[in-house]
Amino acid sequence: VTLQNLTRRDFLETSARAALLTAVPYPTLVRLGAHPEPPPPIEDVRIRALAFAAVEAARLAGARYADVRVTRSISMVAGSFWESEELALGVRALVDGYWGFASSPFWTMDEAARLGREAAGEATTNALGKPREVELAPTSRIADGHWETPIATDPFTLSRSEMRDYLDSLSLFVQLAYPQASPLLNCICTRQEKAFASNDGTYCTQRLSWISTSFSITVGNQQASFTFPFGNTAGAGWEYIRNAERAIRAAVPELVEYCVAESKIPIKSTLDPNRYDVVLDASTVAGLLTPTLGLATELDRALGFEANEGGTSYLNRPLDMLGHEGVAAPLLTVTADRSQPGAIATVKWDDEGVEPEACTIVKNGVLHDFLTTRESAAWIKTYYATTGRPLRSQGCATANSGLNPPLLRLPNLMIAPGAGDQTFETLVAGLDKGLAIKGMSTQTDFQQRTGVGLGGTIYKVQNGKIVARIQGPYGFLFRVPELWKNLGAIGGVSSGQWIPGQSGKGMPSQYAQHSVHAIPVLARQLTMVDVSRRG
Amino acid sequence: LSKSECQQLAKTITGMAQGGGRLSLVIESQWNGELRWARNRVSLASDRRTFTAQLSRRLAQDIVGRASVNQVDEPSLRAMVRAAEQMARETGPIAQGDPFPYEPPPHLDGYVTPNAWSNATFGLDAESRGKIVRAMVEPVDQARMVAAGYLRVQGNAVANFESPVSSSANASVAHAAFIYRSSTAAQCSLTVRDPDGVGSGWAGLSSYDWARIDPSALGARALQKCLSSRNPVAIEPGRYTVVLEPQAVHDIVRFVAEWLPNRLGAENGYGPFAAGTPEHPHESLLGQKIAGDDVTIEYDPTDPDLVEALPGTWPGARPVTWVDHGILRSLGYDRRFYALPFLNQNLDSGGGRRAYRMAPGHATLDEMVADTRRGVLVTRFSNVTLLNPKVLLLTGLTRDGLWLIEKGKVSKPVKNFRFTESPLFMLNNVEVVGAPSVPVFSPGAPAVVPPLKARDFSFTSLTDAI
Repeated sequence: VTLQNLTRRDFLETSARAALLTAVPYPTLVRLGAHPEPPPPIEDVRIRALAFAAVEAARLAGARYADVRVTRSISMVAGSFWESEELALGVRALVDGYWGFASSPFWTMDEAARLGREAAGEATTNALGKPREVELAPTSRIADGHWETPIATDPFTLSRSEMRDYLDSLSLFVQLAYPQASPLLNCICTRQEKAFASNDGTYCTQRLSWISTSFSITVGNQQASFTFPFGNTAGAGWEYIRNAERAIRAAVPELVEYCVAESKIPIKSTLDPNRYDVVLDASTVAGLLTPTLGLATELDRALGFEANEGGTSYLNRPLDMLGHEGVAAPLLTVTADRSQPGAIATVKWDDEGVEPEACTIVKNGVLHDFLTTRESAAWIKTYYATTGRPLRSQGCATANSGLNPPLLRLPNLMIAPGAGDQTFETLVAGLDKGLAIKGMSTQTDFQQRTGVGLGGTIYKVQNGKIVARIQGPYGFLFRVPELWKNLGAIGGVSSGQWIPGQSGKGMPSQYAQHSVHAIPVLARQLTMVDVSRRG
Repeated sequence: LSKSECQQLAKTITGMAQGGGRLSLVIESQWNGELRWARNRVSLASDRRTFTAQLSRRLAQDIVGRASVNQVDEPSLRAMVRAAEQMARETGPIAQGDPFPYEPPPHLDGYVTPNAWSNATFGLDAESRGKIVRAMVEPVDQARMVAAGYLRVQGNAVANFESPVSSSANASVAHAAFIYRSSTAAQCSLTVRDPDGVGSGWAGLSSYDWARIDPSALGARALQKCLSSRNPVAIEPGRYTVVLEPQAVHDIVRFVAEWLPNRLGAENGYGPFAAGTPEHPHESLLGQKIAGDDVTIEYDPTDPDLVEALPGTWPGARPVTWVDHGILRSLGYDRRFYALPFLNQNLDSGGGRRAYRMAPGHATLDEMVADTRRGVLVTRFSNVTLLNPKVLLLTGLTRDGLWLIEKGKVSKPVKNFRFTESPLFMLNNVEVVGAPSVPVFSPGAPAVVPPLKARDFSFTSLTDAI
């Protein structure tokens, strides 16, 4: 067996550890079966009874509207020794325009009813305040829905040893074949089962799975990462790694070559602070989109609901701006979409039981829509009425667990590729003089007006060729509207890439992830600076 | 959960453990009563309860498994124990790289339970919370401004338990260590904005004791800041003398406080306090001058103002002075260091504590302003990011109130800046440490901080964000 052909099974059989690896059944907390019965699967009628007990209790306690999220979240580091489980139940109640919420970890009928009453009580207490109007955008009733992230292999049914073996054998393969390379592979598997019920009669359950992994190798001081189809986090099962195994093995020589080639690029250690035309790779563009147009089009943020935490939005007059405000070059169209298989924020229903439809938030550079939930959609209903579109939520309500109330969170964001077939390489080739940047991350201010690009790799481009790598604490300063309006060209279909994105929001803060489908772009006249330079 | 409930749980879990070695357990339970508001109306009122048990099973010196659950029923706990043990067995010896795999049992001599429980906090029910917030918002409404904010009261209980596990069937709890700490926590903060977006003000405070938070004063302060920060003018970025309110001091000095309890990091070349050279790789800056003469940073585990809500680690036993008049006197030990023969067993660690108190000077904020020819007055910093841990270089923004000081007077509101600066540089350029030191808004790891005046603080660019 040559090294190139060494498969996982060969490794298993030849490994000195093979004896240890005879599969001990993987002990998830649940299947180990120590609950009197394990927590029932989310589709079980008992969960339904639990959910409606909470809704009914809230209704009897005076709620005009009530909904509940029952969640079970489990996660593990594949092949390692950490795992955790969390059960949760949270009820939200609406009384005279005021919201109440109550949650706890315990799945019993009594507790569900208590939480229903508590949520309604919290709302009632505050309804003593000045009148507050809530209109919930209509949504169709889901009588009894069930959906699962389509996965082929459930990592929670695999033996820990088997997963470890997969990961170890890949590392070993690289180490043996390329002694100068040091591989890195890790993997975290997460699952959330959730049930949603409301007193509209909607009831639906979902089993959402995610896997986070990365494979990169380091040669000398250069690092190269394998590109997974959805980036390092995806809505997928163990097959995400298994399907990539062959590709990873095949890609190793390329990655090593890349590192070697990178190390041969001459290094330049200074960069004049100035304006440059810059080609940004898809990952940098994804990192720019989330904290700028992504956050800025969250309608609750635009109207001040996050003013005390993450901030507000420069798109702060939604009704005046919708349909008119130029936020980018006409090249740019951005769509929100929670249906793409494999993307992180993909669901069948959001945490208000709404089935999200794809919506265009920026159309040919013009602000076309805001991201909404059922309550916030109604705030811009006059816009929908004048444009002849139905009033509906964009399906962005998300609670990271039943313990927390749902908030408006970012969906998957997709930048429409350009008409030509430009790629990062062709954009660079078309650049007479300027820079190219890979993997830079972005910080913006609390209104998404300005920001700074940090980290990543910067190259000097001359006559369409990369001539040097610039080493040093350089980055770019930008004003958000200018940045997007100064796009010179954008990548085509084949240059599109999924990149995971993340954001925090709310008090208490909830963390959430989404996917961004991004393309490389040519940004004109970016201000490059030494970011470590003090004034 | 009460102390006896936690003890009962610990006993139950120890009884379930099999296979010898040790176990360590953290049991946390928490109640949250919360209110969020925006656009001058309450947007959500909530009551949330949580519970977690985290178990670490050490079957032998370097064979460890971990698991956690958020259920209290016996079968769930049993499942957690079995899962941790199975994991330990399957995982085998911990990979290399952990120099001190064995944590000796904590010594609890001299440990004093701080009294950080407040009935005013725990008793603040939904009705009272609603009334308080309505009263806070009313003046804002009347001034035709808009407020958004958050009020939270918490009751917390955390129990740490460590015990050997008998390999025989009769589990013994001799040599076990148990600590139970209950505390309350309260926080209130609000942002008042001009509806036209031309001004914004913030005020906030966290304390274990709700009685020490005056919500109407916070409301008035945020409103006043909003009104007096309207229509800011742009001034050139550059180096300015800054007068920092206590919150602004904390927003950047907290990065220093995060590295103080980490001697292991410093001696392995990480962070700002590492001073290793190729010849002496494990040197730290201990004993050296790292800040101005008037800078003293301490931690006292018995101070209720410094109690962390849900500390995951064992408490330190003694007060520790990290920085004494500018000299780095102490870096925090991890408990694993006790195993090292050359260290005094009773050396206290303070390891893992990020709460801190900075000693006050004499001048008040107003006196510092009056004594400034030209400078800027900073309410707080926001979106702060670490650029370089070696020198603690940070970048971030000023937010919710920035004014120019000219000839000893606050002259006009100015547009927000992005700054690029190290808090260590700032602490070396301190002109005046002000007074008094007050609790600031810092839920989680509390801090008691004075206002401060420093020269040559670096603002690097302007932002239009208000």
